Amino acid sequence: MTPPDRPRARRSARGRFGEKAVLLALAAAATISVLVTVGIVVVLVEEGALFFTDVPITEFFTGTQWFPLEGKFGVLPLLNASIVIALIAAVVAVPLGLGSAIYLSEYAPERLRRVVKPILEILAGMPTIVLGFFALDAVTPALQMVFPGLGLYNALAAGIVVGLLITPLISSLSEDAMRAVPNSMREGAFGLGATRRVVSLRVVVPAALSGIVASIVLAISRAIGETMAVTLAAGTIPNLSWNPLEGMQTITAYIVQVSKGEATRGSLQYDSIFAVGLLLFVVTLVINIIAVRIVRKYRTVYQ
Amino acid sequence: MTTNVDPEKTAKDSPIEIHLATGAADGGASPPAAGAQPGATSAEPSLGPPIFRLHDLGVWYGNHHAVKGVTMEVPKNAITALIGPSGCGKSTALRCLNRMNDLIPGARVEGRVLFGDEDLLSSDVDPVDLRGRIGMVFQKPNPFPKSIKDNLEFGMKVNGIKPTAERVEQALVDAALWDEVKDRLKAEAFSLSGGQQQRLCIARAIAVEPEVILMDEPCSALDPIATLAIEDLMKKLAERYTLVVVTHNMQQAARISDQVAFMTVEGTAEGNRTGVLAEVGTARQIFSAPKDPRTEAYITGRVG
Amino acid sequence: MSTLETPAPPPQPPAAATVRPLAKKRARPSEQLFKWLVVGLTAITMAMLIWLLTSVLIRGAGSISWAFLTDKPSSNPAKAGFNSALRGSIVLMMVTIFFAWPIGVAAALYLEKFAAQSATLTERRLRERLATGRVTGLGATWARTRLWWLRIRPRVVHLVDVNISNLAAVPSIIYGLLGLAIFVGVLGISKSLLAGGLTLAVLILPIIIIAAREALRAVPMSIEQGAMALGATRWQAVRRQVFPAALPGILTGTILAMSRAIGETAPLIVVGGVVYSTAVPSLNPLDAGNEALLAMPLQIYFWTDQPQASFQAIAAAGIIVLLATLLVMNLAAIILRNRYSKRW
Repeated sequence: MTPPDRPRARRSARGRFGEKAVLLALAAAATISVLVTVGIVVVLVEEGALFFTDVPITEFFTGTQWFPLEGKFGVLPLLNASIVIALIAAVVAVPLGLGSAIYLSEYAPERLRRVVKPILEILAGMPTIVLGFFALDAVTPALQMVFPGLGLYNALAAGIVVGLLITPLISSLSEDAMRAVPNSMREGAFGLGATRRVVSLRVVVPAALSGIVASIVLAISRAIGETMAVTLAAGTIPNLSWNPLEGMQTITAYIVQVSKGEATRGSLQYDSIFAVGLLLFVVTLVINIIAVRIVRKYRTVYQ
Repeated sequence: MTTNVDPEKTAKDSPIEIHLATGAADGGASPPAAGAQPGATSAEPSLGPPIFRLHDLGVWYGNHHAVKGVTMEVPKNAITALIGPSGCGKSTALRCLNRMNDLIPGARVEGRVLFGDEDLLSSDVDPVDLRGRIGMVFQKPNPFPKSIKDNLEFGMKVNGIKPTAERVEQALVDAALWDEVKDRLKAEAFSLSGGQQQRLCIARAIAVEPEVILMDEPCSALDPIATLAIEDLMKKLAERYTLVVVTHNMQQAARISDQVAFMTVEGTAEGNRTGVLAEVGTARQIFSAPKDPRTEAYITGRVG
Repeated sequence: MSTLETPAPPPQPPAAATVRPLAKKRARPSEQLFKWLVVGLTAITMAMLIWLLTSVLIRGAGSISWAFLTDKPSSNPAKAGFNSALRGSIVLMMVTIFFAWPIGVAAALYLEKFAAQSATLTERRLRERLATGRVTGLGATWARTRLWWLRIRPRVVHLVDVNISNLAAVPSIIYGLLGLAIFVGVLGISKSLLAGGLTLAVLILPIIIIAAREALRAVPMSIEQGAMALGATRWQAVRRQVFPAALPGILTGTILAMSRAIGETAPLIVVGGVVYSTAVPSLNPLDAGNEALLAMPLQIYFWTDQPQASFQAIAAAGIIVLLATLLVMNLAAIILRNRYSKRW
């Protein structure tokens, strides 16, 4: 065997075949992540389709009553409740999240920032069941002091705790966006005689706006998909109302309510959770895509 | 340059002498090589009275003594260039003049900087107001991600100047940018070229009607043509404003400046590197007959 | 600076240029107001967290005892224990990690270290082989297929990327529906710890992939290239050099993904319902397919949902145990990160 042939010979030996197999296995693992998405879509569409053979899709989207036991499947009360609670959450979380982000990014000394930031992130990792308990056990009683006659189940308490859950999402992503604004831009404004407030509000926030808006959009998507806190705090009675002091059932709470009992496979109730699940999936997916688009389209590239 | 006429000179305790002489440094062609133009033969007219008088200025960043013992004067309506090797603290010193160092956590400034007759480092001086009067242009063009017009109006609003169209136009004309952008004032500032962005930043600084403009290596991020445009602009601005320009480009300092301050680095016992002022003089003196051997080494290209 | 106006005799310092006097420092109420506003908003957020933690602690501390941790559930709140839930969660985590970790790490290795690498060499070799005309028929088709794959691979990888980040944002309850339909419905697994663990595995798969990719990316290319320069193949370089270097980061990410999974409630309810069971699950994960789906968050939900106030106290006690577990996991992640984190 001549020397130049040797490496080539070794390369095509057993090791190379083994490596091909390993690579194939790794690729298969990566494919599984795609299969999960395909699985979600197929399951939701297939089971949802079964539901829509029994319930006309127009009734589903226009009906104002959701009483599955009476065969009334108008999804508006559920969708409305999800939106109401997400909006309350946003009203709570946007000021708290943006305020914290501005404080951490523009005002806080580095040492304080390193303490405060992880504390805020504890909230982000808080199991939602804990927030649901907190809503029922502490927030609603506190609210009842302000609004006498407030029921145990109400959208307000649910919205507040969900807001608490998404606050760190907004503050952390917005702060990242604000810190990505180059310091030279702040200096430029300070050099013109701007105060820190003006620099924060008129230079840094506008420059980071795409990231900030995206963080809010993502947070709202998270709020709509939130389950345990709203199930425990807002109750399980479908209620088409904009009054945050009333109890209402969200899409997610309905899925939980049905799952808790023994909905037999193949029953209309069983199929209905996939139908509303499909709606939830589409809504959150669309919102997430919007967030990604916002970041991509309006992102200012700083050299 | 021992013949230098220096009527106002006092015997200060600082080893650094201050020479106020010669107007607009000979049209910008003076090569940096020493001896090209042997010392001035006639008594040079003095520059205007000093607007800044720095006395024993020092800057600490935490435990790092970044700059120490800078004593010099900055004449009004002239261009003073701060030159020196990188890391010599020239930008740090410049940033004392409008208290930008206040914004850096852990920065401490000592000594005195008299603006007119008042120490602007004094704690009862309002730094925000001060920065409106002493403008600054930075190393990299840093327009705000807004329109050209908004960039100009920002500073005016901040300083309580009514942002009229005339003022916007005037600032852009003064910054020699008007002809290029007059049709697209609403365009994003980022759509301009690097040189245009830097002129926009100068226009932004002019628009707030400052008395002094500090420039921190304003051309270092620009190509040669844009650099020349900015240099021409600086010379024009010197008629109305006092300019203090940091540059690492000696040719540029020779082309534009009336007075040159050369800073250098000293190693300390603890291994720290501290910037010190080696020499101040007219541009002609510094480039033709430097007194300090370190200056000479630097400008003849042996160091740095 | 006092002798400005005195006519200066020659040795006097030069008269300073006259400038307007400097403005004295002044209070800016809007500045102060704004600063206190952002400080206040940050403080409110932290205060809410403190309120949450203290209210849970006050409510539940009295019910925490050794018996609470070792007792079975009971319909009598005074006797009800958390032991089954605790065991259920342990088994769930074992099942979850068993499925999610290898798949997640393998996917990350492929996406980060193989699919994203340039294939110019392979491409050239295939082209040359086709050009010589020595390969014909099936061999040529295979070579063309590979060329085509190499050409579209970057786009496919990008799609997979987008897909994974989208998956991470899908509401967790949707994963419950997936688990219910696939694991329980199609595969016929009973509503058990196994079904729940599989569902949570799918839920945290994207999180593990993202974390593992970040850890792999943090290992500098020079390590890999150094190994390859010594004659190692890419796989050898990755397995022997890159993977060990990235392991602490991958493990940190895994622990954080687990701490997400251990608190998940909704997908478990969808998969398994909320069953009242006095069974004590075995800790053997091989039995997971036969054990009723019990877990800490499910037990907490079950108690919280009871109308009697006495159940609220044990629910709070359960929350304390859950939060303590999370705290331990997060501390482990932090220690792991600090101990093994290298600055390249």
